[in-house]
Amino acid sequence: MSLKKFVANKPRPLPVIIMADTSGSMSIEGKIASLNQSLRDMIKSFSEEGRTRAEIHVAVITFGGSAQVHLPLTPAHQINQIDELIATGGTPLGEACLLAKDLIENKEIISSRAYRPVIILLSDGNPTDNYSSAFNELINSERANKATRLALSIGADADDSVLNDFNNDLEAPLFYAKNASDIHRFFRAVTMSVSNHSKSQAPNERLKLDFSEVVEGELADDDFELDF
Amino acid sequence: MLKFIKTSVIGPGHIVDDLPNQDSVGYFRSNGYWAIIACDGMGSRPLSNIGSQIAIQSIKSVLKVTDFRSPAKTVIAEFYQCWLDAVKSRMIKPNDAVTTVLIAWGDNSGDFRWFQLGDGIICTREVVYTPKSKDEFSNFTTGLGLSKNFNDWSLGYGRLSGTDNSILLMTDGISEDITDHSGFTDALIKFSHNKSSRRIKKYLKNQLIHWPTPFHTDDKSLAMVILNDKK
Repeated sequence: MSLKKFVANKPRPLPVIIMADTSGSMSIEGKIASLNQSLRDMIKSFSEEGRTRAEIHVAVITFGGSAQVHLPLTPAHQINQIDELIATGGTPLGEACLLAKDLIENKEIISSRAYRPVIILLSDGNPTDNYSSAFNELINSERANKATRLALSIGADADDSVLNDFNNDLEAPLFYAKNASDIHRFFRAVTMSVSNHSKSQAPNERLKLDFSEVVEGELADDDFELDF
Repeated sequence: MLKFIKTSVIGPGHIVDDLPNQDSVGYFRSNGYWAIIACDGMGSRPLSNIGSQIAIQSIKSVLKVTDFRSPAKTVIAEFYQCWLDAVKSRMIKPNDAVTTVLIAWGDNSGDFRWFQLGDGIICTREVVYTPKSKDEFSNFTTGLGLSKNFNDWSLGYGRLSGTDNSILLMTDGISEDITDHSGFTDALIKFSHNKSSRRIKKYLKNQLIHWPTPFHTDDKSLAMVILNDKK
């Protein structure tokens, strides 16, 4: 007799969910191009990870004009390519929050045995829909509460109060991208932190974001002497 | 007749990293009462293997001399203090020795109490006692040496009787990969029927070493008591 039929035959996933602002304003100053390149680089790095402790899965939700699931949650090593993000329309953050909540609360897609998901919200402007109810539902949901939520503020017009409310990592405050290359730096930090986390002894603990090896120059109003 | 089984195998990830098994399991039987205990040292803490070992000893020593009807808060405070004293006496910071705790403490009639701090699963073939909310995203957030809050504990009562005559404690290295805890428990109890503890342990150890989940890394520990089994 074997107990194997009661044991999962798939590795434990580490979900990474990107909520990306693809509104029209992202088309200027190379922001959308940098975001596209950053996503491709991140997925390539994740796909090359050895999957020694956790299997990194990636989903991308975009909100530009309307919100949509651009990439369903997929094991990174199975992603051959990701379609280009196109910047257009307004910033329907509320719609994106509904999609993100549906995804994270779906136990068929993200099982209870998954490691704590990482949810990243990035935006360069103010939401253009009536977002507050959906936003609060997302950040107060039981599962999103347990996730590591990080936020990237792009440019001078981003709604930092919303992004600060989204961020639940007190030790890694809101990251500011002053230009397109900062977007790339942010994603490099996320990539390295998630990759290291997936190989760590305790991938079930909260992700600790480490910007120390990728940041050049000034960073927001914090010197990021991160103790992790 | 009570039968006790406990086993623990080191995780492949810890072998690769040249780390010890950070889990500890134990049981006792004394003056009409018994307990099974499983503790999982927190992976990121350097001396959590010692923390989990001390937890087993502390809990056993306190429960052996504690009134079975004592309030839960009193019981926990007693063995938590005992653990703290023992850890500090070895010049170890409690925060470096954090460990989860799973306990089933019962009498020979089958009545039992259960206590849980941190992750893992406590279940019988019919009931999963660990609250659902603890089974979300590998909720390895607290343990002795970290928690100071009584509300962090889950606890309750149960009774072993009839066909529901066994209770299992599983550390998260096992519980997180099991898709059907009650089915797993039922199959294990059926296998265990009329077999010696030694044979069950040998079988179980083999199952845990040859764990089917790809890329599994964690230590795996299980403690079980079976009431009214013949051998």
